[in-house]
Amino acid sequence: MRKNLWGLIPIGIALLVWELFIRLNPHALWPGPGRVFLTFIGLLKSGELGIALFKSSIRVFLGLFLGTSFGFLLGLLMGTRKSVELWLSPLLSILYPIPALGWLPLLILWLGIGEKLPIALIFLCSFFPVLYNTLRGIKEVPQELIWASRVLGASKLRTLLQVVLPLAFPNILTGLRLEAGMAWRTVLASEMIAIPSGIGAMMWKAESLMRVDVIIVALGVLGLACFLSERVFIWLENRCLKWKSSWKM
Amino acid sequence: MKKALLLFMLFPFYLWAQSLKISVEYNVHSLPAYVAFKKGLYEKNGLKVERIDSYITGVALVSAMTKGDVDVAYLCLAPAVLAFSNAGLKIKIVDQTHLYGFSVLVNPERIKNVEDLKKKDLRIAVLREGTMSDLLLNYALRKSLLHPQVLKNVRRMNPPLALMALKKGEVDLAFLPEHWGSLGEGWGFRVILSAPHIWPGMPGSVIVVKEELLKKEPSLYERLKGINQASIAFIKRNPQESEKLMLEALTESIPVEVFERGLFLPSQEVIRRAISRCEYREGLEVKKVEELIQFMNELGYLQKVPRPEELLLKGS
Amino acid sequence: MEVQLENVENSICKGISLKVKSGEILVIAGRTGAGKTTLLNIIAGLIPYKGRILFDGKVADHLPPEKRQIGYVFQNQLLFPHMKVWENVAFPLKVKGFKGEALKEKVKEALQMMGIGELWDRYPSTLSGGEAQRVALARAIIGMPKLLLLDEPFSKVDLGTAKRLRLHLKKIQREMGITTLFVTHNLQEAFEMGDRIALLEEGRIQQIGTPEELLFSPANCSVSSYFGNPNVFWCLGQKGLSIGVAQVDLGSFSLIVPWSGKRILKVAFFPWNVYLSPDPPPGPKVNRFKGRIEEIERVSSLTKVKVQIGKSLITVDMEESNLREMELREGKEVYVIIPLRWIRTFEVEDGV
Repeated sequence: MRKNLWGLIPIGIALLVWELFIRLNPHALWPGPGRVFLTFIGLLKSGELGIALFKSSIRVFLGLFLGTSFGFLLGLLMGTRKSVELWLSPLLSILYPIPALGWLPLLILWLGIGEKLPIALIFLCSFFPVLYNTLRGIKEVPQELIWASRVLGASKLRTLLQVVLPLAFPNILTGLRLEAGMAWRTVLASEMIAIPSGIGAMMWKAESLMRVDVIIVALGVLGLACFLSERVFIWLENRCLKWKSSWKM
Repeated sequence: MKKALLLFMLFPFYLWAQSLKISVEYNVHSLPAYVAFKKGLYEKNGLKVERIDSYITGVALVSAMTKGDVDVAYLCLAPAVLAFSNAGLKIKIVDQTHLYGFSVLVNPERIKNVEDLKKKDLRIAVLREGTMSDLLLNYALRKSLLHPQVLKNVRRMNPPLALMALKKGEVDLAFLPEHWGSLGEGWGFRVILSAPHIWPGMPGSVIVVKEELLKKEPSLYERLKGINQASIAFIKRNPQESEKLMLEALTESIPVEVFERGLFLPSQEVIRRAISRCEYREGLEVKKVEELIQFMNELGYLQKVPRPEELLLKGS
Repeated sequence: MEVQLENVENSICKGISLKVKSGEILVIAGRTGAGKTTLLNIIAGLIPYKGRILFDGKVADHLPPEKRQIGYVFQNQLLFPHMKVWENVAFPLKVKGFKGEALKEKVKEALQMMGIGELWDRYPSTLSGGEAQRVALARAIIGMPKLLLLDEPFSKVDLGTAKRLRLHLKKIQREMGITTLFVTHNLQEAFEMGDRIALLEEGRIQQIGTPEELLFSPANCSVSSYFGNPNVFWCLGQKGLSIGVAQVDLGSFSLIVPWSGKRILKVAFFPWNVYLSPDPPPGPKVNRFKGRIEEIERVSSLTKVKVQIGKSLITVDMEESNLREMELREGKEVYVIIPLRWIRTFEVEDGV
């Protein structure tokens, strides 16, 4: 706890320096932390910030959920069926390197502007990493451990559920942790370009109105959302993977 | 003392020697500026103007103003207020150049009459927040010309993209500054309403000048005002020549957002219709400025709410 | 359970036929790469093969690994890293449907049998080599398998722990009467553990027999050289000295040897269990002889020293550094020490 408090001191100093600088060089396009804080309170009170954050969060959650589910299922299929892996790998290796936002123009044409668009983008952003992490996680489970399970009486299904998947889980979680932040960045971009609601749209509108204070509030909220999303997965890792710290594959 | 006097006497020449950077919006609202430029009205009044830069929207123009690239701007009143209030730009409004000049362009297959505008699933294209097109949309909502739920389906984009969105069927109607609305009529769409039908007395564009320039050369104010009057008088007396001038201007100085010349260059007929939807008139009413500021504040657009007097020169 | 292999083969094992009696410990010995682990994996049904495997006379080829009722301790223990010790040991029982308190009781029992009850809640990554091996053993036998496969289970632990574990394992195996196949490349371990030894080389069985049969009657040079070309002598005469010890006449010299009371036919000791000294060694003069170095042969990392004692030639394995330190060379006189505990005798009933 003390360590965390010590860590706040540099932040406090930075805020102080910022405020001082602004007071010495006032300009409407450079709001100080005081101004930003007041704007933050105003946006909270009016509900605008809460609604924007809620809408963005739903999109992130749905997109991540769908992308993770499908990515996991397909990764599982490819990891356990060699023929499926051989058949799908070439296609997936072409699609995987395309950045999620690269799909935006195509998706706008195919899906139109609406809720489906950001969810589809986040789906793409999380689907491939989860798929590949699941596949890699499964393949990295030593064959001998699978043999050990079979010899001890476990069927193929039980071996998959009780040995392979738990051992592949660290890889899957790592992928998710990295993608959680990416999902927020993706939703921000899609809202700025195409959707009239959410944190991204709020920032874009603020840019049009030259409200730098609103932009800074949105950036802060976004940063916090990314941070918290990653922390959720770190917490999950710590809870579920106590055994992993010293075991090496 | 002698030095100061010398500088004072020489400054007009200095001003003349230094080129004035004038920027406008890429639409027919800028006609008075181009008339002044092409008819040599600036030179006649001792102002050196080498060229006029155009920006796709007023908000884009304000972004350029914040960088200090613009001395005089012909832009819509709302972006001018934003520049002053939110961007902290020290500017003064010299005069008004026109009222109205905005249209509601619709896809006639989806919207056959004004009643159809009340459908709640309509998809709307409009310029970004803080533009006059945006304010017109909000005014239409306020007057219940549109269903309140359509706000969820509003897409923000500049005029060329709005026209393309209409063409692809991604939106059903668009709030556009003229000449874009008239251009869209040539694509098979229909101007169902113009600004006077929605917002009587709707302010259009104004001329703004950097306050520091006015402080250095106070006569600039009167000169620009005079030039504006002369331009507007010319437009009223010489409509056909004005159309040609406008066409020339829109062909010469094209912003990058107009990504396909072939598609978006207007004809003289389009210019004619567009000009007819503008009412070129000088003489800004303080009351109108006040109403607009209040409206923008109600929409939550302003960081601080200025008094109209702060935007106008004392005694004007 | 009796296990029979008939012409079992794959890319590594070639035409293997053997029979393991019920309750027997068969050691499968051989050099690295001989195919020992592959053979175990074939019997476990983990890799494809041709030929037939029968359990108690019934064909078992069609049975998947989980149906073969086998306990397998792998070379690397292969404890499930994400499961605690008790969960690892409980695994085979859970598969069979055991749960709740009954399950935990059985696990407790198994851990206590191995002397590792205190490891209950630990993760495998926190265990020492010896502890992990015990857990692996407990896991392998808790399900009461009919066949126990052990693949060099003590190769990763220190000598002292390995010896204790071997004793423990043998005791449990005898108590439970589980047919056991034990793979090792350690000769001493092979001799200690096995009722019989099957020597594998290049995927083929060279010889199956009791340790004494392989030592004293190797089927071919391959078998003999695997055992390091032991020093084997016919016993020309014997005299019992006390219970468990006899003196045998080997012609050129006499040896004091361990004795079970029967007639000693042959005596053998491994080259690496013989010591040389340039000076008279201290201690009692039992099994100490003076000889002359006839030949020094360097073979890979070892040096083979042939010492003439009378008319007999004894082969001694030494490290080069020791040789140099003692300044031993051909023609030099040297003292030979053959410790009693390393001497093996081939005994038969009187009248044989």
